[in-house]
Amino acid sequence: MFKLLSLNTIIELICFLISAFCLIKDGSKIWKTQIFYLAIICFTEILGRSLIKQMHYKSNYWLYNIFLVFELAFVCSMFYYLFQSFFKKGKYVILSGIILFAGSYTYDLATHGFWEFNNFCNTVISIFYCFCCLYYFYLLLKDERYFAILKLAPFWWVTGAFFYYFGSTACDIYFDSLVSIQDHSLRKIIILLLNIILYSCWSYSFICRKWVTSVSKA
Amino acid sequence: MQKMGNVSIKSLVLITTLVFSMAPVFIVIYISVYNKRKKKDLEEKAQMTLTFEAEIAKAQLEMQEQTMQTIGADLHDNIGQLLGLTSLTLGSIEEPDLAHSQHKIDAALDLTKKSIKEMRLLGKLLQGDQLMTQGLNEAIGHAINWVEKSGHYEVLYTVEGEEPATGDKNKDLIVFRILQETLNNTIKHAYATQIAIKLTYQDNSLQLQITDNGTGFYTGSPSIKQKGMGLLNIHKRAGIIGGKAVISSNPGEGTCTDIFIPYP
Repeated sequence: MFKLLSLNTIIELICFLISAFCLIKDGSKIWKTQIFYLAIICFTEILGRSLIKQMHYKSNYWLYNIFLVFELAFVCSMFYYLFQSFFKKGKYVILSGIILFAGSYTYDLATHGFWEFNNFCNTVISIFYCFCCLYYFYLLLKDERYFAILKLAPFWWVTGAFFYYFGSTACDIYFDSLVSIQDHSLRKIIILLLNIILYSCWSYSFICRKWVTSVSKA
Repeated sequence: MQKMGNVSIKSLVLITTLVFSMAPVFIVIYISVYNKRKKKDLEEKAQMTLTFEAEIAKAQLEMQEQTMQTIGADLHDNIGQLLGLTSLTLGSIEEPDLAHSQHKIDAALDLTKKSIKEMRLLGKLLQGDQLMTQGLNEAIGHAINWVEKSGHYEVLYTVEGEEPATGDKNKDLIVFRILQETLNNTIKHAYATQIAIKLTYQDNSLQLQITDNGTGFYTGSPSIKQKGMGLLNIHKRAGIIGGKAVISSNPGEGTCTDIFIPYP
């Protein structure tokens, strides 16, 4: 059992538990879905490790290829929800992300099949998520209202996502090179650190969501 | 050689990741600073709104005070005199001399009618709060009636341009208070005989010009600046509704007060 748990998985599990505690009675469907999404993340990580450590599969990339679809569904839905509070045409932004994803995913599958990791798709969609984060920040700055950002749940959610997706861009871009040198330690450390930042920000946003989210109207 | 290549790739990834991780930190700091500035701006705006509302309330109070003063003066100088005269006339009637008495009764009736007329005018003034609901033009008309009644001034009032269908009651009130303040100054200090008031509605703006042929004064004189709280009020009030006041005067040349206001 302990073989299946890594530091990454433990951080994800803690975040999942915090989300379950803070968001279970949340009035918003999308925030409630966050619990489900974190459960999928934990399940994917544990199954991924189990495939390698216990079932002795050569690779678990196919599992992460499936996960990319869930990630897109949730992250895009969350951004759609966040954009809605500023303007009503957020669906076009999200639609363009879905088209980008579909195109790059198909390209990856056509290039190397399902059993290799869809890194091109992952890189493209990570850049798209970064764009969404920046766009959210732009909308936040443009808005006439004053937001107490230290206690603003969406802000910390986006900040966590921005740190993770922007920070991991280098790893995504040089993924093939890192795989070719057969040394995953650096990538693992970077992803671990980014995961710590991501899940800390997200956990804090869940706490804000439950207790302290506030906005002052101009 | 292979090892060197591996190290350089790892260094490249590490440096790029560090640089890419710094960007979010700076963005978050920037948003935080900008947000604080936004909060400060909003607080200043709220303070300005409070000041504006306080000024409106003050203007309303002053308008009521002015109305009460006018009513007091009218009751004392006009209606009181008329009724006193009526009482005297009626008291002097003697029964045997009916023909002469009829003349006195007619005179008393005339005086009573005049009193009723004056009372009606006062009634209108008492509805001072409603004065502004009829529009700026109508309110200025009432103010002119009051000035002309004294018989010391000849007032020429002209209106140019079309009054916008949707005015701004707060601005109307402030402009009207400026007019009252200016007329008070003219009556108290200028010794004028003629007053010209010109109200001009332009595209998105309003101009009110009040000119008199009084004694005038040095606008730059320190004594005027010290004593002239009324002038200060005129400038302050015009500023509070986004406009400006230009007061030009010279000794012996009368005074011209121009008020420019974005309108409505």
